[in-house]
Amino acid sequence: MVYDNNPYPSKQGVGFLKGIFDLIFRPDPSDASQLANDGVRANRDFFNSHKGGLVNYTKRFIGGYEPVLPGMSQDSGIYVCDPEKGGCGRADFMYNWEFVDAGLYDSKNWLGTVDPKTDNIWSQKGYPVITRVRCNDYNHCKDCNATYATANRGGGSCIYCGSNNIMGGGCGEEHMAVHLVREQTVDQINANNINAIQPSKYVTGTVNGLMGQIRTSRPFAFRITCGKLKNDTRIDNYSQAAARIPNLEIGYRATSDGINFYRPNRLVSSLNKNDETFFGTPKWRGKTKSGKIKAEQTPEGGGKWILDPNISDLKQEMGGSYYDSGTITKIGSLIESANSEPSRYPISKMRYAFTYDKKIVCSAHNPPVQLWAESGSILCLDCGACRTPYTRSGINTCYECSSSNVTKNFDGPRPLEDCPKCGIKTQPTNLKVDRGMGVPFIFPRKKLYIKTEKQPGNPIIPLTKPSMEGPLNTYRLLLVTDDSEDGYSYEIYVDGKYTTILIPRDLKQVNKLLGIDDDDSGSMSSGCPKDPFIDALGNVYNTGGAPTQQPPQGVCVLPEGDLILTEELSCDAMQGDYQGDNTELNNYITSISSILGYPQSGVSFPGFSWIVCEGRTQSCYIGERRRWIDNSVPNNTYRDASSSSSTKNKITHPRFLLGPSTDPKVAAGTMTAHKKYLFMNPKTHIMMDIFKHTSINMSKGGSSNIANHTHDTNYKGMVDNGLGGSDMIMGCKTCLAYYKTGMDLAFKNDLNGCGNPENKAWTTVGGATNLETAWNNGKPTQYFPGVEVLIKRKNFGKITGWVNDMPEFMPRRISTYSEAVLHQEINNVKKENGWWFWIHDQTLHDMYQKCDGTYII
Amino acid sequence: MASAEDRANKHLPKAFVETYKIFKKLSGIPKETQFVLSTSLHNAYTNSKQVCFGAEWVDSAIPANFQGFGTDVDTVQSMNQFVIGHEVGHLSVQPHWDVSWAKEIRSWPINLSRQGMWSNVYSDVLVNTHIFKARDWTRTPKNDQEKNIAELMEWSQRWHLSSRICKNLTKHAQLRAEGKVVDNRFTPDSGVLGSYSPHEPSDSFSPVPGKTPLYQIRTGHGRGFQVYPPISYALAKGLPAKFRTVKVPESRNLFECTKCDEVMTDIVTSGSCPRCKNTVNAVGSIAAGTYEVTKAIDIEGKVNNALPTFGHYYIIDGKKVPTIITEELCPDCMEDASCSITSGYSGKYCSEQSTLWRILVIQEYAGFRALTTGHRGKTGFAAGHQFIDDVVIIAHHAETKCLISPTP
Repeated sequence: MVYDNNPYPSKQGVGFLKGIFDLIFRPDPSDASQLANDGVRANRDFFNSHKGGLVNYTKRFIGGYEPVLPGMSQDSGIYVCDPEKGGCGRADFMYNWEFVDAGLYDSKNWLGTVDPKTDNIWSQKGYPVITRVRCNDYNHCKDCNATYATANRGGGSCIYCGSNNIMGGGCGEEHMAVHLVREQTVDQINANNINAIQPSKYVTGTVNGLMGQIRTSRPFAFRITCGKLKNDTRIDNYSQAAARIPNLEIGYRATSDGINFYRPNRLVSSLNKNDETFFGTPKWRGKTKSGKIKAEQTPEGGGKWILDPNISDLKQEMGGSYYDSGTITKIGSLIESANSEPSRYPISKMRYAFTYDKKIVCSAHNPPVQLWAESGSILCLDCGACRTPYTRSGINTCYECSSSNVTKNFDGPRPLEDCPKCGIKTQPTNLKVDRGMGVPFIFPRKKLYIKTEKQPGNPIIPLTKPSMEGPLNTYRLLLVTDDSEDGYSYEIYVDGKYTTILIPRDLKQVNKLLGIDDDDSGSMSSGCPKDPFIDALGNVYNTGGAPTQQPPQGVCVLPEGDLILTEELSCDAMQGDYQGDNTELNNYITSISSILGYPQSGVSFPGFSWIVCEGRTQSCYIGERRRWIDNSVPNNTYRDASSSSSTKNKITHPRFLLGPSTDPKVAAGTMTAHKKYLFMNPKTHIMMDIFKHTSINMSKGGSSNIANHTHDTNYKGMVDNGLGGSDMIMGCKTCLAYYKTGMDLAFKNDLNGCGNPENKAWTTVGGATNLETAWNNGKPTQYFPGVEVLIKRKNFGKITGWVNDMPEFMPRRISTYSEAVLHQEINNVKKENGWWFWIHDQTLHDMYQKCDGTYII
Repeated sequence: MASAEDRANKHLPKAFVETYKIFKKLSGIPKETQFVLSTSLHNAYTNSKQVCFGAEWVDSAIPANFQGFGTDVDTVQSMNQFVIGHEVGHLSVQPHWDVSWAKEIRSWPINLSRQGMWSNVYSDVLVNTHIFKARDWTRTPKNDQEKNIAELMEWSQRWHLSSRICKNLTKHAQLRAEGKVVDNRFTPDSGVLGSYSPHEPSDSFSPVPGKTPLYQIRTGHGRGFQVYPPISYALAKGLPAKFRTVKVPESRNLFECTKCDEVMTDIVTSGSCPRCKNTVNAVGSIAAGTYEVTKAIDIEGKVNNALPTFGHYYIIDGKKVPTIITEELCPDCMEDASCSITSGYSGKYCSEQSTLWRILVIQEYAGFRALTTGHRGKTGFAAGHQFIDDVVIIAHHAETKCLISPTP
């Protein structure tokens, strides 16, 4: 515990308390032993200039968990099996989960692509990779908090500490996760110094006939592979963990001396030089090497793989001069060896599976000294220096000042608050983040553990309730290292979009994911409760009150034979044959789909297809023919398409270019190659992924299943809830703007009033007779409920007329804001008869609404 | 609609409104600043535009709610003006009305989630050590009313922190009904004790929400929080035994340091003094139970101080017992009504916020000593440092107890 290191009565503890005192109170300029009595502003400036010191001293007493807000939880390396969405409540590091599949995502060609591009999604940049993972069997040790994949669920002893106090789990449910992968190797991610940073974006070739690394290379080949998950095997560092998660392999190509150089090498068939390969046979597991491909694999058309003759025949003249020719050396094999493997980039830095702490150095020394202590070091409580002790007669003393007032030997390595040489004389201006090639170095990474209990008898794991609910839930976890004194402990709020997302199995679950899109407002996992939401047609999604009763739906067989799930009226309008209320699409799909010729892939559910890795390349390259060629393995899933439920057996299905033939001359059901991945018929089927959707309803005029935010929400921070934890405070910028606009206008004519608590006509408190009067042709001077909405939404469209005191509104973009949504917002505020409707805080809301016992002077 | 000011004057104790107006005028905060008092708020707070109070702050503006203070009620009531002064102080001292509060909070070099709390706590220190001598006023007080308020500010916060405030309304209503406490409810012009004016048509004892003045609703046993003097005050004034009653919830062994004479419990010592490292002698024990206090000794060693200083020991059965292991009881209902200092350092409250509060109070009292009479013969920074030296074992008790049994 932090307090234990510096208790108040100790020499250092009382020193810190006095230090705080000295930083708060300004000395009297005429007598420094006295406190300045006058000069409020000077006192304030003195105080404000010492905030850093005040925090620094106070943190010597207060440790606790460092909060990691949802917005900072990207790339955490933690996967969650959301119990609110049908999962089991597992929270575990991604290297313990079973990766089933992965694919490269392209938001522009989301239904299928082999053209990898970097993207910016959810505040992260990189190559988008979507993974499919399964909640496999695992054990969570209640004593040391370690987790590991296991073949002995809930049994045996902990592979880390030997304890039998084991909690087993794993529900088999499938999830997806989105990762943005940067071109950083394991060594680069772990880099502690410049020597650790080796270039990765190069290809070896010749420049002016001389062999060397060409750094102007460009990616030409991609492959996602994953190491095999080994049950009951320890993971002790990031390198080991990175070998168990998918890695994005990227090949680089450069043209020099008129030759195309590739890494990995271009191998061609000995019988047909146009038959080429880079990664060899499509694979999901294992690394690739040119030599291994040549030795173990053969082209489909026979012969063997050989190095591209353009490379293998290369020669270099060594040691020649103007007068003498040098030695001619064959360099093809050297280049082959240098370009044998692609660069491998882990899909996650796993920032909270292992500590990820920027390296701070004190630049007062040459070379600079890092603020880091190794195991066995001691900290001198007198001079603040830190290093191994000078031990005499069994007593540890400080090397710098010989004081015996020192801490015990550190159990493990840890970051320091002061320079280990300067100690308490450390000048903050000398402390800098150590960098190399523009990239910050990091301190050695320590393994983190997910605590099972907050305190004895107060379990956190398995997860039960989210700390914040929304389309994707946010869960709170406590992370610690195995060294309670190294200062590393985190209270992380894992935002649902930055972890695993349970794959929805029906439209009801899909609806719960609505609002997850790629802009800032959508990145909030919870929308404003006063937000009407808007669908693609401008319809209101949330009326604010109790859910409206939806008319029953059933299967509708359209004239062409297509199936959709819709209401009876809509079916009649489309001249379809309504099969009855609550009839289920899957019953019809299973019996009719084969006749209709729809593919039965692993992704289809009744009424929709949820795309994870399907149609997304796992491996591809640009060959000599300058076009993208897919080289993926088939898709894998643990989902039974016929029942939409999980299965214990992995099912393989076509990933790309393969589907039922549409040629009437061949037998029904014959599979044939296609130009793109075939999903269910998009006319009758909603196809969607976490970012995109296409819906038949959108083109048929019905109510879309997809809705977007119209209010802009933000995290305002967190407050201590008095129970040793924190609560998040969310704000709605839109409601705040409405409320302020409404209040200002109302008070403009009612300076001392506090509202309209007796629900009288607004004219009695300086307001307008109705909304149209209040709007005053765009120049409002009086308040009437709803005018604040018109003021703030005037840029979203144009008021073209008035009917029954409601504006006719022509929106600029119907999917962003519409007349229906505007009317809904006006009706909401009119119903409550005042601008306080927009105040989220119930206390303040009541204060303004009721005006009972509330006095403003 | 009557103006809000009219209604406030009608509903609130006049002194409450007047005090605020003086603070607003003399501290120079903007005229537009609104003073908000609401029945639905429970704590005072201030944002850059409003100074807000909950109804419970009205309780300590009602003289009838003060018990045992005799003629000192006017002085002790200054605890109420401390709250006003404190909230106004956030506008006049720190962060100040002319800066962006959001930027101020974000400027604290600590995690985002902690910035609000840490900023507030440290701002409180600066505010409180300015307002206690009205140092934030832009001009010297001129009339008697202003001078009186300025003089009372010196001890106002200490009255607030050291007085016992009993919040057990149910028990007090029961005692009143049984005739065991004086019926001190408000009497309207009708002369019917406890009735309201105006009242619901069907029942003269039912207030009309929003119309019956708050000071009527919050006056008396069972209606408003009752304020009782610190134990040391009760001893200084010779008040009856019920005013000097404390409860020791758990039996404790007592030890005395052979060097600094600090008396401490087995919570903080296991053979040596945590401050001077010298050995400690066992000096008996105190069994769980209810006791009458015969002497109160403050942190400076003064006995039975009538002023609300920082308490240190109670003499119980002839033994020195640290105040923080006791519960100071309400003289009427005999439930725990410990003052903020005693309960705050008891170790009952364990969170980052609680620890920050304890550090805040130490700094405030140290600053108070340094800026006023000094401490143990020292002045200025030396007095402040001496106070910190003296108080560390009390503070250590709270943190140690939290380490042993943290609040779930």
